[in-house]
Amino acid sequence: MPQHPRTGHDEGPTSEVPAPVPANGAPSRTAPAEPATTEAPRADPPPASGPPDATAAPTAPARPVPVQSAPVQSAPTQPPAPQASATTPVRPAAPGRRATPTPPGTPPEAGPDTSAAAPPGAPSGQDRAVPPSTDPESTVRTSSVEGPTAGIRVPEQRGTDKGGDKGGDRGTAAPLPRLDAAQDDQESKRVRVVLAERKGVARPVRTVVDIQEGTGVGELLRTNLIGSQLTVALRFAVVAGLSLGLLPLLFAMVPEIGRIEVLGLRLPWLLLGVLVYPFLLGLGWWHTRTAERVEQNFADHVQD
Amino acid sequence: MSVPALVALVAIALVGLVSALIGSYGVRMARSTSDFLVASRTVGPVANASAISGEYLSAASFLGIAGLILREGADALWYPIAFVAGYLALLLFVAAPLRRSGAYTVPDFAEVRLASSTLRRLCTAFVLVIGWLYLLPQLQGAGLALTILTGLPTWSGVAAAGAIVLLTVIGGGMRSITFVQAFQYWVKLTAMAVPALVVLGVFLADARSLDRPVPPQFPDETTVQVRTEVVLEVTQPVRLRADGEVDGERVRGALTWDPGRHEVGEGTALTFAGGAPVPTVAGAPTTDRQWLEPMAGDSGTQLLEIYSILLAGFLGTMGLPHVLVRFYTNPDGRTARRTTVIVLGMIGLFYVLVTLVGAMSRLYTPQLLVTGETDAAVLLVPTAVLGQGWAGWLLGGLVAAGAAAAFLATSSGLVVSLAGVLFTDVLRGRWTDFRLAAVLSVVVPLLLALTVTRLDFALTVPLVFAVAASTFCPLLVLGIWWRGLTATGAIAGIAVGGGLSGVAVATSLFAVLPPGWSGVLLYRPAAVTVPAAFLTMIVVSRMTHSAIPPGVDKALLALHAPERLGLSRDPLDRPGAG
Repeated sequence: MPQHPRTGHDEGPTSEVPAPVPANGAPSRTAPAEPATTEAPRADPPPASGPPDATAAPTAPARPVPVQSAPVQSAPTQPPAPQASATTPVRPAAPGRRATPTPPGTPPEAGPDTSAAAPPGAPSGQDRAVPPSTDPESTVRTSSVEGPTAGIRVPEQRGTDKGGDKGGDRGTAAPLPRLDAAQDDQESKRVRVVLAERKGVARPVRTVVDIQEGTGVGELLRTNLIGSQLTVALRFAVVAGLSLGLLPLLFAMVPEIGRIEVLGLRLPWLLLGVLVYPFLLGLGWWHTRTAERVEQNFADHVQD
Repeated sequence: MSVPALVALVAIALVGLVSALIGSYGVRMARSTSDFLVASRTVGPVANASAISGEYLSAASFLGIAGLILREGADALWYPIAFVAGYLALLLFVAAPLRRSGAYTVPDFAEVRLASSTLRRLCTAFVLVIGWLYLLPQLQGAGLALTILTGLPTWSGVAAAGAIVLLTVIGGGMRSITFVQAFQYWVKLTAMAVPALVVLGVFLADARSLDRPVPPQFPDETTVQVRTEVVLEVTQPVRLRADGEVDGERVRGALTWDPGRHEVGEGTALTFAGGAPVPTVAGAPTTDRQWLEPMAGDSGTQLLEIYSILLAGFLGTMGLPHVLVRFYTNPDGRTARRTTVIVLGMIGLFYVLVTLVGAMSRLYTPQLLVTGETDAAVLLVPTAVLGQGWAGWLLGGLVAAGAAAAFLATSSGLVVSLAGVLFTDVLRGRWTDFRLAAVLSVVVPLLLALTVTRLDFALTVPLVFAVAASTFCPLLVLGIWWRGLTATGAIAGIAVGGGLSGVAVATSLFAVLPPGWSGVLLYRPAAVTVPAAFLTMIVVSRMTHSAIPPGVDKALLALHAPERLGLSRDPLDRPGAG
């Protein structure tokens, strides 16, 4: 059983392909991450995101090990901080992201090495297309990263209590819950990286069993998953139904609409013959992203 | 045989040949039952989406929609929209959970979810009914296309389509079908895109307009052969020569029609001069301007009809057996969703092109309005636009290839899924039986197709959707999302929905429909039957709530939880099951 969740960790967040390829990234990342995951960080991000997240709160207390590691290992926040400030002026998206400092704990959770690389990598990826490399030395910014790396350990502690002022970096984690609003590939890439680090926790088996048995927390998580997926699906169905369903009525009530010409085409022909299809495609694409996020959240909580 | 007929035949033969080659390539890889039935679940999203689109875009889409647009104008645009929106509903409510259910067919799903063998048998029966009903117009359409393109007798096209489909399916089961259908999607898209662009180019160069208060006009002197009795409507006096039966009298020679309705008997030849206004089949918009504007007729019944079509398409797509079975070939629920999104894009693009060709055919092939055989519009547009010459003939050949791909893809997809159900439920045995099942699933509709008179795609296909929407749609949607569903409720719902829509199908296929609301509801029954089925299912389930299966929570969880948690199951992946 433990195998499953762990596999999940890499799989879900890191790659689109669900092929179970646990071996490579998993151990190295999970090892550092595990201690780093604090109760605080975990509890923090969940409230920010959708309904399923909220249920994480109950889960957290149940977990035995976590607290110790946080202070000890959680260091990496500092380096990101300087770096962030260095890069901020260049970064256009930074402010927006800043505004979302919700999960203060998230960066610290990452293993020292990874976190050092990931946060800088992610923002830089935005303006410079430098991929979020896992190897700081290889990055252009080696020097700046080097300094930070030393500091990493220190700040992470701060990170845990400090939270707010690191908005820039935290931001990298923050988009996770709010992706709904801003959908852009870059963001989703970034999310994946951070997520991989975030859930390092090892003993998830409990929750999976909980869910299967339908006891307490598990029951809650399950109904939550199905409920929120249904809400999402219904919401999209209503949007599609209303926008398509009102058109015939509109054409019948206001026949003049049928005579309006746009771009040399009659409005009904433009709407029904052309524009409907991109509209439906867009709805479908949006729904897929939303539904995958709900699943992702669910899986995170089960595995945490 | 004439040159264009030969070109068309060669093109059709090429499609058949390449399909068979790709199919036999798949045979080498088909090793196990799982290969045969679900391509071992290794098909990626783009390949699978091409295959789904290839399979879904049937003759009704390739030929029927353009014909409908030619005749009905703006109101016909709702048909393709309903067909595409069906995939959105499928994506929202069914795609991923269904894939995770690990079931292979709808009956499988019913049994996994509700553990009732009665329900399973009922589902099997409806899979067969829907599949055969849907195969019928496909095979007959193949006959129509062959007759129009080559002048060969209709039965030869029907028989040839049946034989080729059978060969492809027997060859390699699902795996080879996947490649064949993906190939056929691209054939269809090309065969629609090239004529669409050519027609558009010619249209823009001509600087002609469709916005006129008069009926369309014959471009040249045209002789129209009326094959079935038809009532025509004329708004301006028109001079013509007729040979046959007109308005109940034998006529041979010139005559003038006054505005009004005129009956033309079977086998009559009508000759119109170039520039003469085109009479239209009674009930369709007569002038171009009416045709261009939505809601041309009585808006009450028309609204009902449009909503019924939308409902049938939106909810019926998920109930089509050949569409459902494709989702089982995805590796997991996530890819099932992504596949659906790609399908939305692929078929959307195709329908935009179809709409274009359909609208243009009003200018270039108006003579079809006289015979009512508007389903032939796409096939005739190339020569109508480019004239009788090699350019026109080659383009015609391309379109013929696309039409052939349309029949083959849908029919073989249907046959695979029907054979799958026959094989797992009715025959039960080793995989060699799959071939027997395939033969059975072709022969029944083939015999029907040869004996029943052909009806417009526009009439038959939405009927099939309506049946699917009133049976499998409630079963799937409630089964996936509502823990309160019971086997008794499901059976009652399917019986009510299936019974009502079945009556409607039978009446509209074999009887003359009354005018007005009741007539519309008989040939577009979804607006009533779908809510009735849902309602019955819910009410009866509520009444029998003590019979909710005990493992329901676990079963629902397996449908919705992401695969990486290891909660889903897949019977075919279990060791020993392959």
